[in-house]
Amino acid sequence: MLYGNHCRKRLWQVSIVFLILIVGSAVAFSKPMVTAFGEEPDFLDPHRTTRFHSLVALSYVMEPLFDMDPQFQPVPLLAQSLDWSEDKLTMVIHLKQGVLFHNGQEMTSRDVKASYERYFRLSALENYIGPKYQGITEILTPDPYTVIFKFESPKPLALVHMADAHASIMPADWIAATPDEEVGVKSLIGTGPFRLEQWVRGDRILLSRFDAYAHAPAYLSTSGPARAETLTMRIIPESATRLAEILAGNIDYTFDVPLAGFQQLSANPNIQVRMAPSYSVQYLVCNMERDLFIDQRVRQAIAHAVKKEDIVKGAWFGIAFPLYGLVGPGTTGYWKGVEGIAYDYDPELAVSLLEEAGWTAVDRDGTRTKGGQRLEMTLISFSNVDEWRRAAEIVQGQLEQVGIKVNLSLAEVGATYDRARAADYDLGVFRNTWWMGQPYLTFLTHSVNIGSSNFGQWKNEAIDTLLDLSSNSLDDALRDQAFMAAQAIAVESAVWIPLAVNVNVLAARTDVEGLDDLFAHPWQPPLVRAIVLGKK
Amino acid sequence: MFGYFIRRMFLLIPTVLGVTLIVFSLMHVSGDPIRLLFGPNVSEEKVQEKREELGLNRPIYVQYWNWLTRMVQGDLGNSIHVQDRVSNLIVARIGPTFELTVSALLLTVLISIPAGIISAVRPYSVIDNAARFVALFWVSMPYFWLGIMLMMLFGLVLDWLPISGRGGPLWTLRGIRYATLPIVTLGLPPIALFTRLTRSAMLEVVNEEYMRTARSKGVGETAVIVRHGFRNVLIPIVTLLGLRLPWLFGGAVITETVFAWPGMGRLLVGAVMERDYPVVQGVVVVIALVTVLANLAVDLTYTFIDPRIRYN
Repeated sequence: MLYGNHCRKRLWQVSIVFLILIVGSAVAFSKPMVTAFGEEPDFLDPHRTTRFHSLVALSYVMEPLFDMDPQFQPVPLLAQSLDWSEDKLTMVIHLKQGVLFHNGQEMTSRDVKASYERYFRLSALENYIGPKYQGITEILTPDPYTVIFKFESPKPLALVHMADAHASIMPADWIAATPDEEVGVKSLIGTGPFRLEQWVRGDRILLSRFDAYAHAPAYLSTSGPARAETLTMRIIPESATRLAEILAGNIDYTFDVPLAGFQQLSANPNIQVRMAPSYSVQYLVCNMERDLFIDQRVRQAIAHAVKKEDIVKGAWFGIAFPLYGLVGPGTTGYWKGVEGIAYDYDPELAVSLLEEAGWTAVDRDGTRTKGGQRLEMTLISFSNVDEWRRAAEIVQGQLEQVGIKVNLSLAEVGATYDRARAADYDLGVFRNTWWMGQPYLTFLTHSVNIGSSNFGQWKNEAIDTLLDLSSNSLDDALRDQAFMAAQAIAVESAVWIPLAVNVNVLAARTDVEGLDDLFAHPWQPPLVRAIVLGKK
Repeated sequence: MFGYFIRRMFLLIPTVLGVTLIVFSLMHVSGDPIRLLFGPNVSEEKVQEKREELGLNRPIYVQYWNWLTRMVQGDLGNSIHVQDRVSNLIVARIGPTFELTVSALLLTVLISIPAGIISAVRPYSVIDNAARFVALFWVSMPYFWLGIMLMMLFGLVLDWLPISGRGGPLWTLRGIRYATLPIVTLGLPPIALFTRLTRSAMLEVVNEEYMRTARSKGVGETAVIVRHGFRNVLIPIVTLLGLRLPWLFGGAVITETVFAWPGMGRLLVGAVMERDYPVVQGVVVVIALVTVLANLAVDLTYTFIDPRIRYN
């Protein structure tokens, strides 16, 4: 009897300790978290937005069928498994069962069909897997957990595109009942680890944990739910203010770290700073509609005159990397071999190339001339983006060292893009941001985008062919080779001169946990990985 | 008086027409909002589709007429950038803006008027010189710098006040704490203007005969200064207040940006940068309305200050 009482007492004690540990660990990671955005999202509709900050914000709430693992391989997220037909024209996806939307409804194939149809109808982005580009032309739903996508032509990169947060899944009934312009403005329903509670325009977005979330991909240390109970996204556009808030400890973590405050943050014992490669690249481009650049030696001279390391130091305070190809290390399809063919900084070679091209005479101000014409050009960039403005100023100085007179013409983003599309410039410093290498390089260099995102205004059939091959070939090796070859031609042409690739800098309070997990994956946006973040 | 009121309200029509027409034209000259909306990685075909959907490919006078006819029915349209109703965006911002601007103006008045009166009553004294120096000091401070310095001192170093954001309505303690630094930033610099105006206006009346008469009748000095003297200088002060309010409504953008305050100034500048024509037009209508009403309120106030003034 005594022994029995002793055991019961022990059992109670152990149970109580166990309960305390369970509750304690839940409490330990239940604290509200605050992050800061330097730019407010436009709207949180994944099918309509084209803005980076919008995609980051909605990625906490919405999910596509697939995710990308740390090796940039598509892995199932809302999908459980998939099968391809022999001819690669039919994809059969088996959905995970029991996945709930934030309104409590279970996700079924009907929701996937409705979401994809809406995505194709509304998205402004060039949709590789959409019907316009001989992609998905029919979606069948033979049962609640099976979706059959019928392709008009094989799309070997389909899964990569289906891992894009733009192709997120929403409830079919909610889509039907909600006007398009209200989605992501007044409400948002997804399957993500957080749900949208409130959006006070100009001030903050409030998310709360979705407790039913339990299907995070296997490469994460937890399958869900999120560790943070709530997540407030504060909109703080002024970088000095954001820096002050981080230093004061009012922001738990942010990727919008003011570069000017990097040293200060790194030295602060209460803040941890981490870096990851970005897929945001900056480049100098020559407008091939100008006769000046028809001679490749002039372009090559410009490439040799530009010292990327100085640009990284001067424009990004050293918090960036020199870029040798147009595809950066944070982008799928990155090819390290391009570093071997990129133009080195060699101002003497630049001078001799210019002299070979006939620019031998030098004016009183040091500007080279040929037949009475000065080697003078206009460089456009954005006045309201500090890093690009500084980069343009540094390029101006570097080109003047070899006798090229550069007149800076800086204006705000809209006006500069207008000039770029009208080809009203000689040189330009631009940026592009995309995590998928193939559509990204097509945006920049394919002739179909002359007049929109191909600011080189250059039609090169070899690049066009290689890019089409890298998009459509069913042979993985051939696709990769074609993509590498396209990158090589782009760099060798010196029409585009890569300058720098940004670094994603994260600043977080030292009591924020989960960063190792987050940074095991090389790139932004965090998508579902934000569930690993919590505070002690 | 009522007739005067109605006539002044009718002034709203040419004011709004004139201002919106000029702003509409300038915005359309500034460039294409759809490219800004979509970014560079969208085809020209999609851009054209969106322009057609929003009616942006129609002649500018047709676009203006369509906007005007909807506006008089209370429909300010949808934002191109965020695709929410313009009226929703403005309504969400009016409260915070009103809080900030009125409180800042109140702070300015509460400090500058007594300072101006004291300076006038004791000209060239230590108090007068100090008041003028302090006022000039504040007016020389750029809003941006002042805001950042206050934020660093009180928010970061001393940790007495929140650094940025809006904590809630101004009648809550949390709201007051969050609003303190932006109100001080916005309210301190104009003190010089109001102080000097009050001082110079008071100097003109302080030695007037009616003031000597009041003193000789045994009226206390404070009552002489405030009831007899100050009342006669209220007109220029009220005029300046009336001019200041509309400016604050749309022009506090620097303070709002520094403190991440969700006000109309930030909304307007953001809309201009994004070429969000409907939002710019909507905010301009509100500012025009505030300007006309503020001026009308000033004119009507004159009749209370000076009973000799009557409007027929």
